[in-house]
Amino acid sequence: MSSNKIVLTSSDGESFEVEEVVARKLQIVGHMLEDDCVINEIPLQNVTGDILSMVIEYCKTHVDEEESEEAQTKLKTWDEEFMKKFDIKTLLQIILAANYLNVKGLLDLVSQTIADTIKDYTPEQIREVFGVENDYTEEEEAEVRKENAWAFDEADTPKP
Amino acid sequence: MTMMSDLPHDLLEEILSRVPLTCLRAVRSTCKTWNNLSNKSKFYVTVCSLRIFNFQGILQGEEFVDSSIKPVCNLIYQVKISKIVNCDGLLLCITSVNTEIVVWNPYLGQTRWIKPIKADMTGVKYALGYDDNKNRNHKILRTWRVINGKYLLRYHREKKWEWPKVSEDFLLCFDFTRERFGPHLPLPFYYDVSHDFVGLSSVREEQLAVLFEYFNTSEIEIWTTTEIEPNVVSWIPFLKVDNTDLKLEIDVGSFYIDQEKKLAVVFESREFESRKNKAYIFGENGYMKKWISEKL
Repeated sequence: MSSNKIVLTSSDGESFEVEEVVARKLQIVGHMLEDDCVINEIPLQNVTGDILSMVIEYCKTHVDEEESEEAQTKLKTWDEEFMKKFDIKTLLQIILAANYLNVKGLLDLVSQTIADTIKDYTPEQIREVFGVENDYTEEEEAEVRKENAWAFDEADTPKP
Repeated sequence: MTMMSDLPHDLLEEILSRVPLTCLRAVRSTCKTWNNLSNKSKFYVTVCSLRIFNFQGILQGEEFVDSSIKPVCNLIYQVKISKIVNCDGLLLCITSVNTEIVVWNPYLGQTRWIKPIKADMTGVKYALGYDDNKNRNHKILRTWRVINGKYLLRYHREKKWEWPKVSEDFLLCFDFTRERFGPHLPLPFYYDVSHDFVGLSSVREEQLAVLFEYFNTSEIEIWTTTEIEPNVVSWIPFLKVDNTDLKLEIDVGSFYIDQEKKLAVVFESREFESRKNKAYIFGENGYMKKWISEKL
């Protein structure tokens, strides 16, 4: 394992010195290193320092992904705790960064976290929390809501 | 401040594809974009033990390796489901003892149990469709003692529901409006009824796909319709799985195709209870990915 250090610089000029193996978890960096192996400072224009530091924290933790069940469980617990730290606004920034930096594991993790939040909400709550504008007319919305409802003339019927 | 609307559509789609099917109603009511994106997500259903799995998002990414296969729900308590018929978003689930059937609306998370008048007859097959009446009267078709029959439903937009059956070397349509069977329609190949396997699947409820597995070589051929009307059908080849190197022995249960990505998802039959649930994803140039269920 290389102990080579790489400096990652955010859009707002914050610099992070990380091990090359950690930096390579960012596939965008991995590709740059393959193209030219003498780089040791990489500017990342689409991500701010505070978000980049979180991405790096994730990559550091996931740098040695062991196969063992115990290690996997431990990582999973860490992921859950890690996600709990952020509000929706930050999660959206992280997912954009993970997409730009191409960190697949983090992208999956944040997508799932946001999806899990959505599933407990009503449409009104979703709009409020995620700042989504309702572009339905009243009729359209009623139509979408009742779509498929014709198939059932009773509520959930549990198995007798 | 970063808003959901700042996300590119592929990211939003990635997120929405992870929302459980039973919670999608709220997503779809949120706004038009979300409705469109959530309807776009790939949705393949198969039966695995007591759980129904949704093969969602398997086609994301260029290499199709991102298979996310997750249980949708423990739908139906302790009942074993042997077969699922898909129609316009509704799933008709047939219990393995054939005594009861249930219509499941995954969109709303509702179920409705139906007890057939005559229970437990061997060789009974079911299909689900609706007539072209304004109110869409749903109908369940039950046939009995059809040998070597494979069933599927096909929707003819703005026309009527039909229900074709493969038997020996023809398709048979059922018109759910007039409640009549149509004429025999040809298949794109000849096969040995006693050995080879033939299965049908609908493609976006507008076309049909037919899968043919040679008994001797386990080579798979999939064809799709270019035209399908009650009286006429024409076929083009979709995908061929050369089994020379793969040496697979697949006991095909059901399959789905994605035309854009030129992929087919083939599920193993669930007839043998002890077997693990397996699914294969086939693509062009010999692409193959195998999925085996976790212990259930």
